[in-house]
Amino acid sequence: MRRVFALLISLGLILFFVNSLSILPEYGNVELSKVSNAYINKSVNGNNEKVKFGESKDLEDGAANVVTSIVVDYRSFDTLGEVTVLFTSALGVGLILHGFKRKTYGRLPNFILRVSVGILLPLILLFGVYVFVHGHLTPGGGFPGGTIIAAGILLLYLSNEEFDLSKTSKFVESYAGSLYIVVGLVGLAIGGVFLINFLPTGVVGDLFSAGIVPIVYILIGFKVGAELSGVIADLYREG
Amino acid sequence: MVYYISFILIGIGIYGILTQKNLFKFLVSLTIIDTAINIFIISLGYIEGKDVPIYSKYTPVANFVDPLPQALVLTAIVIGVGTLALGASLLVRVYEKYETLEVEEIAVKEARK
Amino acid sequence: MTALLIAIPLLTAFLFVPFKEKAKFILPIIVLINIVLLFNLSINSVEAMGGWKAPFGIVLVLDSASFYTLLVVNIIFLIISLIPQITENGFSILLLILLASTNGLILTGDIFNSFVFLEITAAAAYIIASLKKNYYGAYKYLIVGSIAGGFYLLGAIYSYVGTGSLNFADISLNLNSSFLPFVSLMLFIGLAVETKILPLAGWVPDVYASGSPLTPAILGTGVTFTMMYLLGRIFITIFNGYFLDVLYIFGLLTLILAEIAAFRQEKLLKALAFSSIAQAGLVLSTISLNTYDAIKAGYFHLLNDATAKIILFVIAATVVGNFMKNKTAGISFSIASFSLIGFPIFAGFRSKLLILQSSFEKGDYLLPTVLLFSTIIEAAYLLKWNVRLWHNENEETKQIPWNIVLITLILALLIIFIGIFPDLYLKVSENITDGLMNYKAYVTTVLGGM
Repeated sequence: MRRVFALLISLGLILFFVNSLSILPEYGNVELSKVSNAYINKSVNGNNEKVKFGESKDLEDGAANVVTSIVVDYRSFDTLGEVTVLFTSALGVGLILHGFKRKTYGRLPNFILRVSVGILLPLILLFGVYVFVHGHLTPGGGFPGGTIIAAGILLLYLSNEEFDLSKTSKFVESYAGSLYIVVGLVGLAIGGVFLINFLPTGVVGDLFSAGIVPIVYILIGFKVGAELSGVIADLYREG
Repeated sequence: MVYYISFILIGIGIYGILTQKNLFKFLVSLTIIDTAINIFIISLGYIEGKDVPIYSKYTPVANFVDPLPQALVLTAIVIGVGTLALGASLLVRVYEKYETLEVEEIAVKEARK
Repeated sequence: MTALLIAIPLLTAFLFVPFKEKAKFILPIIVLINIVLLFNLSINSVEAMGGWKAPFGIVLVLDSASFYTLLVVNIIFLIISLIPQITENGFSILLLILLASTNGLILTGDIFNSFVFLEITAAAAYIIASLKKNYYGAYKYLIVGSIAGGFYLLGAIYSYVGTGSLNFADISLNLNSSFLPFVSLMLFIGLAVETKILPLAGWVPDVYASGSPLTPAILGTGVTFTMMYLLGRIFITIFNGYFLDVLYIFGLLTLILAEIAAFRQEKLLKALAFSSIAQAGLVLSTISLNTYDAIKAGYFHLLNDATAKIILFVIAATVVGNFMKNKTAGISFSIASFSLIGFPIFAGFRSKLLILQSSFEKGDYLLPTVLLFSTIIEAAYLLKWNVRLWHNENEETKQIPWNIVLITLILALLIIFIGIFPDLYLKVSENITDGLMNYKAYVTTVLGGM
């Protein structure tokens, strides 16, 4: 009986969504919205020239990756909130699992694991750093970069019983997050608006371009890396 | 077509939450719904024949798909991860307290208290 | 400058992670700074985050509605922060995050941004709900809340497709009318969990009755007030009254069903939790009458309810045994419950009277009937609990801290004061109503005279 009822509800829901297809644009045939157009042409504050890679200079936003320009510049306030969600859940995992001890097996982990972690770890960390440093130019950014770093930390946890990073990760998390807000407050002090891009934006496509975007993404990278490592450390315990 | 896939996935997720009796499966159903919504949002920004919204050597001039849904999905994914981590840690504690994850057995143990 | 209301608590929360235990002392100071800052801001200002004007960037809107809601919510946080005994170690930091996110939720003028703040609020709420080892209840809340969050996100995306932007004012002006039913239904599902509307309020009794005074005291007052404001902002300002008929029905159903459920409870905290659901339903159906007087009455009642609920929940969760040993706390409890029932000279009487008047003016007789019926049930169970707590055979008593007694007593005196001179609360609710109903002014302030 319960299953029939559930089936009816889910079917009704699917029907409701299918109904909405008549008002949605056809797949692959979407028109760019006015907001997205402005983001792509970087013309929110009225720039009418087309953006060209490697040539356009001193635009309102200098990130070559348009998604990054939205995430870290046009809608940076959302990203601050997003970082806070992750921060809250990392904190919550710590609070909820408070009092659990680290899981130990009392023997050395596998030889292959230990040696390969030694080889892989620098590469993984380097790749993570690359991803978040180049967040404004290539796909990626602080969130994927931080996640890759956290994956490296997970390997460390697996290969070394004594390894513990929870204190350090708390400090990194705390200071990276605070610095993000401080960057915003500096913008408030200089430009009169919270989170304003107060540095020169340079040429589209250069590594040193886009003003505060790379700085913020590096901070996010550290913060996400530290938070996810913290979550891993907290979940890798037993009562 | 992609729209249908995401709608059906949402339906599957809701069905799972309404019928399953294991707490862990709730979390799985929740993830299915999250993923379905993300697929749906991404597909709303797709324009046929256009490129990734990144200015590069190969795409020096704008001919891009809608970048805003992608940015929104990035946010939504991170929020989903946060919720998932919280849910998992709560489950660890629930299991510690009741020594089971079955809804009915927990109800029995709750009533006995 | 408006952004500081969010930035300061958030910065403090980030800075205090390594020393969680110290956050307890900083919380009241931060809330006070916020309130002082709030009075130095000019009303009817719009602040564009990062300097990107609406509808392209995210804007924070401070109009009379958001100003007074912020004031109310911040004062609630101040009251909670003055009773540090109910906050367990490390949870003060969560209150800081919750403060930042409710402030953001009230101020934001962007639908996706409101989703992000909704999720922060929810995440903090799940953790607070797990106090007193109430992990199962918190888990249920997490599942329901996340599904609702998903629907809210879908609603935001549909309004993006229908409008081409995510700004509230722009959505209100340009949303394609064929999108309206879908968007409003999804946003309603998204908000129904946090505003405690049946059938999505099943988590409330489990979470509120965990035995921790903090959980219901903050979630049932500050967060509920924020969510009710957001609901009013979306359905009254943005959609200009569309979809309110459906809300009206759901509100009435919630009111009557929850009162009956509250009557049948064996535990005081559970009864209060159901009563909290019922009051949310009453407020919802009152504001969905969509006249000036009705909305005013609705928010006035919400204020009264919040004041009474802080007292009721805090005392019910801390006092063990007989009220005869804790006379002051007992008197505060009785005053709060009389106000909830709506006896004359208590604040609840004023607001229930206003609700009746405004619905008669609208020519609506269903709401008064249901309200009177539910008041009878309410009176029955609250009086029963009062009698039980005053004449309790239970001898074991615990000394309750003086600051809880003092604060609840002050709030109880405030209830009587409002019952005789209701002008203070009426002014707040009038201003909230002004801001919510003045749809044209909102759109022109945000989009700048279009």
